[in-house]
Amino acid sequence: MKPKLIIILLLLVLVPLGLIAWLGVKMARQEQQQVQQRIQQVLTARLADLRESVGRLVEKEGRDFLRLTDLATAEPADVEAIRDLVRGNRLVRQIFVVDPDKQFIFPPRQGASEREREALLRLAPIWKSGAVFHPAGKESGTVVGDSGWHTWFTGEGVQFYFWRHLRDGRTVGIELEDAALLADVIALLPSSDIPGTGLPAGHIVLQDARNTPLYQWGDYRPAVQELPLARLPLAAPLNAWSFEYFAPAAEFSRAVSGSARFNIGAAVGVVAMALLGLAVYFYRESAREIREAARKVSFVNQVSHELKTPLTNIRLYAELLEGRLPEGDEKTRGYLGIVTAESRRLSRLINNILTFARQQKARPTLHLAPGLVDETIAATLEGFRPALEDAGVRIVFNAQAGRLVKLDADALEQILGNLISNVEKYALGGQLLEVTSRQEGDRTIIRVADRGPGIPSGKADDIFKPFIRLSDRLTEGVSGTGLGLSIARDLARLHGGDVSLEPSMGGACFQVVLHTPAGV
Amino acid sequence: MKILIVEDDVRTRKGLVEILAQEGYDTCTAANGREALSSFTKEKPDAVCLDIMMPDLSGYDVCREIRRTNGTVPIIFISAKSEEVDKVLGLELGADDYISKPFGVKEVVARIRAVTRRCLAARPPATAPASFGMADLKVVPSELRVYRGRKGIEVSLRDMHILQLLYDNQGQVLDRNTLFDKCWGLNYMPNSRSLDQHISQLRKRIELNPADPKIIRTVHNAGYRFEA
Repeated sequence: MKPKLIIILLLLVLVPLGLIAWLGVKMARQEQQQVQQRIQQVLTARLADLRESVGRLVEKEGRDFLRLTDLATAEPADVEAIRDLVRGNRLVRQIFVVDPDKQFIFPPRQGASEREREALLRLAPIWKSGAVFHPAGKESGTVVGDSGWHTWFTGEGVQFYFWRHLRDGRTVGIELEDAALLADVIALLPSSDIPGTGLPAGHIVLQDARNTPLYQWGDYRPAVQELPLARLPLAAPLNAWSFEYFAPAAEFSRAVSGSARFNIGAAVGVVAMALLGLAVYFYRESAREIREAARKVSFVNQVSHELKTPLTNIRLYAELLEGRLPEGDEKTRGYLGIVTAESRRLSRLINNILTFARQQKARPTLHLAPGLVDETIAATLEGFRPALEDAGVRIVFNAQAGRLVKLDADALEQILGNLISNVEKYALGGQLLEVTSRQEGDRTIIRVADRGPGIPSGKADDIFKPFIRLSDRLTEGVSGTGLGLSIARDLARLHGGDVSLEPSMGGACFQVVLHTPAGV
Repeated sequence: MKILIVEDDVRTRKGLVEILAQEGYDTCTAANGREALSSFTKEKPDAVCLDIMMPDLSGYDVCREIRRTNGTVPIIFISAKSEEVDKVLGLELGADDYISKPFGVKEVVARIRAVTRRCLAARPPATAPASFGMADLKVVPSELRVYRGRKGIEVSLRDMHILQLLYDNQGQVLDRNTLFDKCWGLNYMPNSRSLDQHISQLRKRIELNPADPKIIRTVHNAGYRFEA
């Protein structure tokens, strides 16, 4: 198979395959991204459910704290009643009441218990910072009328406060017992994976602002340093806390992506198989054609060989007989000359057929060797001289290509043989064959002109096509294969030049140009 | 000098024998590869003309076998196979030249002469002089050439034998039988007409005026003579 054909075939298969593979990889990446997004969505939705539950708990406790503050608003403040409220509610660490001038009404300055003094110390930085509960409550986003939540970061962690402004300008606040709050939150959360979700086992962690786990559950055990697949902070006022969802990514990908990746792979595989099948089909078809062509070439070679043996004997014995002719028997010598010339013509035809058959198989190669162009021209003319001169054709050779150059003498002889053979066939009536040679730099230019009927206008290109013979009277009764000029042009082009039909006043004039670098 | 001609086509084989005999070579023949190897051992030829496509044993096989025992004898392939690869293979196997069929007499003669020159040049120097003069000619047997001044004229092996014989017997008349015996060999039976024709052709090439020869003179009803 020709390398060019193999390359084309490979391109026809490899380019689409590469394209499909590229698209496949791209689609797989997109799919991977989509899967990641889907995992994120699924896990975030799970975490959002949990957050919502916690949010509802906080809202409920906020309502409870509103009712609680109602009880702490007696004027003047009923210290003991407030202390009872603190003692009676496990979520309340301390209650405080502040007058419009930001002076603590409760805990009282005088007679405060140890616990209440500690509470005042904890509250002091809040007051010093100026971050009073109003309007700071807006920051939490949980303002309920004139009440809300406030979070305060301390060295021990986050402290949660619920506050409420009264119409008389006082502020009632509740410092929450964070352990009790956490216990309520944990009580809401599940203790193990929820069955029936269709998702692989995971591991959910509730963590505080310092990423310290507060609570965790689930059968999956994440590795150290493993990153969570999803993360969601809780709603205010617990927004310093967050949920993290750990899970085996690969299992989740499979669970979430389903058969999408398999489908892409299968589609790519099917297309690839189809392409390969197509390539194999074309390869086999091409190989079959090549085998057919090789068989034809082999047949032509065999036939040519079989023709050559009798042809050898015809020429050999004609020349031997010519050598034995007595002096003066010019008539017989003439007859033998015709036999020899015809055998040479037959040789040229066979060589043309062989050359053409080989060209179908592979590009022929030249054998460049130092030589004299004029010597080859003269030798070729000598072969034609008897037949042409017998027909009354005058041969004129204007030799101007005597420089030693690199050329394939056999190819040049075949080119010239085919051109002069046409003179012998079609232009004997012109009575002249004029061959001119010259050299210009690395080029050798040879003109072969006759005074025959010439080539009809418009046929200048057709005559160089294989098996094309002019259909007018020019070819009537003249044998030939229609390969001569085609082969002459191919050989000249192989030799870095060309054969062309030149304008002429009468007859045909062919110009042969060859690339002939210096021979030494 | 003896040449083995190996060719399965009988007509081509006979034609080649005719050409080489005319040139002055002794020949022996074989119609196939096995005969060729047998003849090569028996006849000990100085060169081999070898066809490639033969039944039984191909010319390539014969060449390979000959080269196993003899690396110097010139081998010329003569074949209808004219593709480049055939020529390259033949030369790679150790052949000295390649002639494509159909060939002309002149082509075969030229190639055989070239091979003969190489053979003669490779031979150890003989006691005979490397060249000798005949009138204005310088005759160089090992080159199969005579020189008139700087101009070289190619001659056949037989021509050279004739010139050598005339030179060795200069002044003496050599009759036709002697010339036949010495230059054609006893097995060759040409008639006197062909001898005269051969001398005539030789004169055309080496005499300045063949009508008035100075080198090969005719002695009427006796033979030919060279006089210094």
